[in-house]
Amino acid sequence: MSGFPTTRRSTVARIASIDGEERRRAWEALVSAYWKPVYKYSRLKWKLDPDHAADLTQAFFARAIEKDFFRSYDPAKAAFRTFLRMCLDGFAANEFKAASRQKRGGDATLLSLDFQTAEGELVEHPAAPNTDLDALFHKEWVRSVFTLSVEDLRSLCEARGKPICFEIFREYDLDPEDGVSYARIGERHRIPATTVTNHLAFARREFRRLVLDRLREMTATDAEFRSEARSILGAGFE
Amino acid sequence: MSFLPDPALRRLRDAFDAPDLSDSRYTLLEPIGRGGMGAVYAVHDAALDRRVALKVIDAGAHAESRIVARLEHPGIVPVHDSGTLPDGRPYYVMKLVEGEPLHRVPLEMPEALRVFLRVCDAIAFAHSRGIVHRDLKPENIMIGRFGEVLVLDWGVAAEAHAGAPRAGTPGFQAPEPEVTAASDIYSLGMLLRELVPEPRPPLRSIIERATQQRPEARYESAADLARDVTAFLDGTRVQAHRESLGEAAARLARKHQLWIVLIATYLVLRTILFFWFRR
Repeated sequence: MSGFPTTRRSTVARIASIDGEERRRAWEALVSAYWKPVYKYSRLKWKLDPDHAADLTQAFFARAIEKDFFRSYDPAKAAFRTFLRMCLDGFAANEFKAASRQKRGGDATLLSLDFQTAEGELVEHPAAPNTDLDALFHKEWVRSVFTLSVEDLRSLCEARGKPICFEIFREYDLDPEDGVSYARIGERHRIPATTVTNHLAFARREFRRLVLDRLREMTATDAEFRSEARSILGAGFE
Repeated sequence: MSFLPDPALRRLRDAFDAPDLSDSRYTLLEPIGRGGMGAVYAVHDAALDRRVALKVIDAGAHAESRIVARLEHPGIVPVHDSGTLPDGRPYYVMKLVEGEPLHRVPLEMPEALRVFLRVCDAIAFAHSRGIVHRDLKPENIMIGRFGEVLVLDWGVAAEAHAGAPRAGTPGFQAPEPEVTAASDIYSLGMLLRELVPEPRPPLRSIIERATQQRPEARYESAADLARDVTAFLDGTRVQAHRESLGEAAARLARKHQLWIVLIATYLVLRTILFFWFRR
């Protein structure tokens, strides 16, 4: 399992670390989970054009890193994702008041974010009219958590020499064709159906662990972690 | 990683919840649904080569399997097995009922009342074992392919004497804050109202008695409620209903329709013959 952390510490706690490298990795993790929700929220809430929304997203994270916005987060008051959205609302309001597009991109460090892909997703899968934007931010955040966890699972299966487990997970859970069955997948991979169910159980077990790791990483306290897990995974989560 | 559309998110959430049965005698087939306090899956039992239902129980509902296992009754789904998944979630295995929930089965009145009586029977049995269901509604009654009537979803069931807090579904829930057997009687009354939306006066009185705001004003037991519904079906006197003379006459006429027709025919024939021979 080379290069694969078994458990992740809270990013929210790590961004306050005195260790510069630790802090940098924490920011990377935080930006990778939140930049798409921030970009799509900005596009829909303030009806910004794609360039403008990309600028705002870049500037928001760059300023947050520079000014250490998130150090003031108090887990007793709200979930971290709610706090981040409120920071974004405040940041955007100030920016619009100053009406200074040059300033926005100005001295900010540019992050490597694929806005073209995010824009393509918005065009191909548009939000319904009158969508509740808080709910949209939450849903995009959930999408981010799952997307990163699926990527984690792919890397883990490859690192453990079990790419077939990820392939079966993809064929059965992620992108199933009509009439998918254990027997049909078994025929395709020339393995018995019982081996298919074992591989799938492995992939699901690891996926479950990886999602929880990602959530643990994106929350500050155990209570927040549990509350967020319940909010995206439902009553079944313990 | 490519974009995960909403249906993929739903499937991933299901995959997250799916029980890990890799080291057990069961193979996961498909999710059946989510009920009170847990998700139910169809699984294959390799030891007995049959399909059964496996319910993964949510946090806080650990007592469910023990409660259901105490209730051996033809109207209550039997528990075959129970255990704990590798991730710590408890589960239990029960008979897989092939059928439709009550709200999806169109029933004419006499048949609907016969189904209702079987529900009352199961609930009366549970009460006799000190258990209240707390979430009676049409969705939790299953009509099997061979006409079996089964009360499902004992996820929020509780000990009757423990003064459990109110639970269940608005519209079927009794108003009192602490649940007792009388609260199930209220839910049965609401269930009856759902089954027979335009009841005749005696049946309306039965519903009214079962759904009284004060628990002590309701039927004392599910068996008493069932007795009144049976009386209504048989055309005998319903205890909850104060009938007028006209209603009593109409009820007796309905009940003894055949005798009345026979006697009337006899009297008419006697009269005709009387006048015929006097001519």
